[in-house]
Parts: sequence; C-alpha cells; structure tokens
Amino acid sequence: MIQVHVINDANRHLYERELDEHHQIRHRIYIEELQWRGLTPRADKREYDQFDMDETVYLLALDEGRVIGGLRLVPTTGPHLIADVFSHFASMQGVPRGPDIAEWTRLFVVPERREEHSSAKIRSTVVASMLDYALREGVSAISVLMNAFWLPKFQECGWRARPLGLPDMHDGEWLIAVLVDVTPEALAGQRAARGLSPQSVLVHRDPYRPFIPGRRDVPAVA
Amino acid sequence: MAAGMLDIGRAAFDFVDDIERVSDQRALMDRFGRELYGYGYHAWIIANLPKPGGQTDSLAMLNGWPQGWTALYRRLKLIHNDPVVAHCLRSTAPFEWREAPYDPLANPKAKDVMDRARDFRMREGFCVPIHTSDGYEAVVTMAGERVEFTGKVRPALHLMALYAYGKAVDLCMSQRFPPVPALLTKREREVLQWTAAGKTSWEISQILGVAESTIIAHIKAAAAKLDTPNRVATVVVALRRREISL
Repeated sequence: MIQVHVINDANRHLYERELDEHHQIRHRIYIEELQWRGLTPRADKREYDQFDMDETVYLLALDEGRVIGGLRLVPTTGPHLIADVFSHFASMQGVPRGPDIAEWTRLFVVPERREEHSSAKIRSTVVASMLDYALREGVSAISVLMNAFWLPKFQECGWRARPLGLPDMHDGEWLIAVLVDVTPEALAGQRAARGLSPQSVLVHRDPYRPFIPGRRDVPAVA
Repeated sequence: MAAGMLDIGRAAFDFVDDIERVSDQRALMDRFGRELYGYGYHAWIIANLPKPGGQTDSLAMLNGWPQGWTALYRRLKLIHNDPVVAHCLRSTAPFEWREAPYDPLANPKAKDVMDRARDFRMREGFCVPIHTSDGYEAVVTMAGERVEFTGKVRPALHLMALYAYGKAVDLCMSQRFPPVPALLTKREREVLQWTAAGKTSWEISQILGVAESTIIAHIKAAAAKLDTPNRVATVVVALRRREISL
C-alpha cells in the first residue's frame, strides 16, 4: 500500500535514507533523462538545487520502504522558482507570495514504475496528497510552473487554476505558471476523477512542524 | 486592431476572467468567437477526437466552423486524412496548421483536405492539442484567411484555447449532470462509498470502528431519502446524483 510521507526539517532525521534515494532519483530523471538546462551533472549522482532548503517540504510516496514518487513544496515568502528564476512567467499577475501560499516543483514517478497504469496512479496519489496536506496545514493556494499541457488535466479534476502570465517557450516546451486554489472540492475532484479512495494516505511523523510558521492548531494526521 | 503587446496579454487575461462567470455554451461561443475574430480567425472548433480506428465523427463540444464545412467534413469523412488532426495526435505542443507535415505527392488526400478548407476561407490556422488523462484526445483549432501569430498573439491564443477548453468541459459536464442539492449526510455518503467498493456492512463497521447495526441504519436512512428499494439501487442512485463517486 502506497503511503505519502511528509518530510521537513523537523522530522528529516527519520528519513535520511529515503531523502537520499529521492535525490538520486531526481538526478536520474532531471539530469540524465530530461537533461534540464539549468542543472549540471553531479559526481555524487544526486540532484539538488537552491530550493532544497531548511524550509522545503518533501512529500514522498513510499511502497515497502522504496521511494516511488514525490514532489516538493516551498514557502513563497522566501526564495522560490517562479520568484527568483522565472518571474517573467508571472508578468501579468505578479508573483503570488504569502505564508499560506506554497510553490510546487519536482513532481516525479520513478522510471521503474512508469508502466501506463501504475504511473498515473502514483502521480495522482502524490498530487491528491499534496492537496490533502495543504488543506490540513491551512495553505490556501499552490503556485506551479509547468508544461501548459497539464492544465486541461487540472481542469478535468475541477481545480480552479488561474494563470499568472502568458505561456512561453523554455527549453523547447511551452510552460505556464498558474495558481491553484486549495479547496476540499479540488481534493475530492482529484480523487474522484482519478479513481482514488477518499481515505487519506498521508503520514506525518513527529516531531511536527507546521508549514505556516507559528500556526497553532495542529492538524489531525493519520 | 492596433493592440500593443501588453494589451494582447491583458485581453487574454480578461477573457479568462470573463468566461469563468459564463454559464451557458452560447455565451462562451460568442465570447471566444469574438476574441478570435479580432486576430483574423473566423472559424474554430473545440472537439474531442476519435481514437484511431474508432468512430468516424469528431465529437464537437463547441462548433464555430462555417456550417457547410462541418457538413462536408462529416460527409466525406475528412477527419481520416486531415494532416492537422494527425499531427495533433502526435504533438503535445500547439502548432500552426502549416507546421502539420504531409507530402502532397505521397498523400494527395491530405492535400485535398487542406484545399477544401481553403474554399471556406481557412488558409492558415492554429491548433492546440489537448491530451486528457483518460487517454482521450481533444483539440482547439482555429483558422482564417489572414491571421496573426506574431509576438504575444500566439501565447495569448494558446492561453485562451486552454481556458475555453476547460470551460467547455465544465459546461458539458454540468449539462449532463445538472447539480442537485445533496440529500445525504457525510456519514451516509461514506458508508455508501464503501458499499460501492464492494464492502459488506460488517466490513464497513470494522473500517469505521462502529457497530454493524449503525452501518445498516445509515444505509436504510439513505435508501429512505433516495426512495430506493435496496442497497444496490441506493448505490446506483447516489452515484447518479454524484453524492458518491467511483
């Protein structure tokens, strides 16, 4: 059974092996496979960038202890991709910033699990868990820079995703930055459209740290 | 129109804002058609594409083609030879019609489609392929005689096409499943959701940590509200009302 674990600065000592495995997977995908221009191959075969910070939250899908998928969230009050590297993608609406706005990057499924059906299932489970986590943590919106090709898939799930700027070409792809509203309807829509169970698969081990610094009411997490 | 670069972007954003409030297909068609016309596109369509070897007609969601063209396209089954459609199935990025590759000598039928489109004042066009998660392909495509692609026009058209598609899907869905007020409680929906997943009352009682008699009472209450004779019918009606989902 797939569980999606919340890993941040407070509990990362419980996940050193999984985090390391995830950086290796990212090296394979983003540097070796996709050859993203902004990233350079590293001798240690682990991919990091300037947004792997103390404030970063990783949601990793684990199956029998192995990392099979995941994504990354960072607060928009500090440095983040759309603000610091790709702000022209937000030229129409400006870069959304706020303690209750997260930026989403690095959604992946391990190459070994890319067979048609299981890949979609893992990806949609990780994405549903992101909305699940955001709802529990009081995050109201998530910004993301992505291939514009994903937008209709969001819309199918009934998400409200507002554009921040016009689509533009980067590295041979048409990218767009959008701001996704975090609502119970978006989570329910994601689960219904993707055939996921309405039960949460999120695991958040203590010590707990809220996404929004200083937020008091600790959410109930399985 | 002499719109500056910034105005083109602003107009596209205004379009996205406006159609969020649109509640019927006619209004969406008018608004989208008007916006495209400003850039020289008098013809357009938002349609699902048949799977290769599947049914022959494309399934128009919103049809802004010239009338005669739709009829001709259907009658001659031009979709099978349309190089724009063929390219659409292969491409994830938007493209101009002239970028859809075909060899006019080797593939005279493709050339015939493009020649016939010209008869309807569709010489140049722009196409935004849509790939849905359930494996269906769709398209937003637009054409005219002298059209604009330059500068911010192309990304503006791309943006408007994506949001027009999203809204079209939205309107089609709400037409097919008109919203109905929820009758069931959260707990009743939860119990029916598990029933739909094939769980027995006893299994659900274990999952939710309550007595089996409580689960049976929830199902009976739901059946009374939905006026259904048994458990299966209750699940079916709840699904149809979208109180639960598969």
